[in-house]
Amino acid sequence: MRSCEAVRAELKAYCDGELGFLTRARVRRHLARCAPCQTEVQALRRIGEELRHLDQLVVPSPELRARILQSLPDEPPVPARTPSRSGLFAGWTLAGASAVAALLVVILYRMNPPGTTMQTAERATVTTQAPALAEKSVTERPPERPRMAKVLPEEQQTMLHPKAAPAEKRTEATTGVPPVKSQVNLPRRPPSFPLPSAGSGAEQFHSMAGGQTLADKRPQPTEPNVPTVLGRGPVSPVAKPEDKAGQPGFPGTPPLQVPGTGERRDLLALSGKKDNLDPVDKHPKLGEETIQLVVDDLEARLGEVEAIAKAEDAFVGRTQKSTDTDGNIAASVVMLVPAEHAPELKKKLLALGMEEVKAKRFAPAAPQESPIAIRRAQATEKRGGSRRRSTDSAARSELEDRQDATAPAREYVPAPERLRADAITQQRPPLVRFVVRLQQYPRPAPSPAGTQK
Amino acid sequence: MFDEQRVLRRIREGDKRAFEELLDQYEARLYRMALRYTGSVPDAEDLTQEIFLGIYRSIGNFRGASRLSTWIYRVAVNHCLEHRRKKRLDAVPHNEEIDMPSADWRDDPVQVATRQELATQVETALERLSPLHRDVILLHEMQGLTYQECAAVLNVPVGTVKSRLSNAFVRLRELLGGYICEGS
Repeated sequence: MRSCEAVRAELKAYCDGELGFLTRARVRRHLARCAPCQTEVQALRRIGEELRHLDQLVVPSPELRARILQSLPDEPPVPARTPSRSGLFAGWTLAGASAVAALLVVILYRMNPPGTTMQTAERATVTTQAPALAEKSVTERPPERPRMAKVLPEEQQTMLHPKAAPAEKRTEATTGVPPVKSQVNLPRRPPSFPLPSAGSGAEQFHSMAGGQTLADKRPQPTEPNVPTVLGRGPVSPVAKPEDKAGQPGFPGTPPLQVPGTGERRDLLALSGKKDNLDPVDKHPKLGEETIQLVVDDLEARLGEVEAIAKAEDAFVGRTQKSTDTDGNIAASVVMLVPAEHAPELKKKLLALGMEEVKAKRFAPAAPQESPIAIRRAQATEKRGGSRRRSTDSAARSELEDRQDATAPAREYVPAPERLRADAITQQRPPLVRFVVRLQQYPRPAPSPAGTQK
Repeated sequence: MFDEQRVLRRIREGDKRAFEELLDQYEARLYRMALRYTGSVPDAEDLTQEIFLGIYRSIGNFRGASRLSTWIYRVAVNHCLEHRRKKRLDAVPHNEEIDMPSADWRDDPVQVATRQELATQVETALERLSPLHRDVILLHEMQGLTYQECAAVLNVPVGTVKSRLSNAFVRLRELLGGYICEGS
């Protein structure tokens, strides 16, 4: 039961109609069983009436109106110029904006992963030169461009971003930190699609300008004097800690750049390693919507939700029920539904009760080919179209099929394994995860004897 | 029908008659508010005149970010707060102006007397509130502004308006306890 102290803090807003639906319902439910709070509400309303009545008979004198009109200036009102927008402060505003912009540039420059920003130019340099030369400091190293001009073919020189090498020099010159070419040792195989979180300004600029990433233009393994590993491309030399410790300014060296999650997934996919991510979670077009409804009868509406979900070819996951301290019942249903059925499902769900809060994280985007899905579909085709299933999932599927055969009037519900596999291979539209939260409308409890008089 | 946009446009063009429409709409309300802040009729009239003069002068700067009524109340509250800050006046009872019973009750002397006594007590209790609580009661209860509008006028969050009103009424309830119970 909600305590009187907690309710009384809401009573004034309750009298004014300024409470939300659920809070108002809870207060009303409490009032139905609490006589002292009922008296308090009556008192608050009475005070409000008296306050509103106090000034009702106060009217200004007719002379006041004439005084006001006479005091008005003849010229029409014009918007006044605020001194901060012009004159003396205008220059300061511009200077402040410039300073902030410069500060942002510096911060972004420092935060920008030097390993990825300079990686391309640096890697090209490193792979065409002796490792010992690459580990030299800036002061000892001759300028980058002439050396590259000596070693690289003409077409590969043009692949490098024109501003990449100067930026690298600026990094070293301003921070005293050598480039982090030897800190990142990523696979050299150029990906067939742009990395989702490559994030380097040079690569993004290059991608926008030429429609091709720098990763696609990196030196190929056929280049002479370049060591390769399993045909994946040139190997970036990894600096030893003792080598780095001797470099000037090493304590300020930026930390090792950790690729983003999307990049990690793609790299894992490229390297053939398995990660522990759910395939459905990897699906790029998987959306999620949360619908919160206030219903009159939770049990009945819960059954309707499941029936609607089945009718819309959705897979109903877990269902949880809970009861709060006031005795209000709530339930949560999680379901997966094909995106093409999502609007109809949502429409039917919203018809079940009053929508309290609508939280929408992101809507499913238009269908587009996913690199992971393409690669997996290709792999499936290579295996003769048979999907590899684990022993557990195969046994579970057989059990479900058997149960489906024996159950007479049961509607068909796609198995989650099949939904996932179909979503991955793009044979079905993407899935949307729906979270439906049902909150039962608080019913007024039977009032104790004597409170209704 | 009071069309805010039309009146606003005409006032900006220098039409005094449009400003008279604004006066018709807000003169009595702002006068009552000024009376609450000043406590005397002459001061309230002076303050009301200052408020409308300020509205006329600065209405060119109104950019339409809020409702015109909210902006007008904000100007008025600023003038009232400035007046209170200058004069440092404690609230002066002005019962003679405001506790007149309406004609509807005059047939029942007992009810008239009860109402007069309750109005006097409410007035006294209102004067004993803190300025913050009194401001929000003036705007919400006497001027009829919503919580959102009060928040915009007073430049505080809506939750603050809610808590101030609740606390103010709790305080009024304490001060008027016996009268309200008898009246109920």
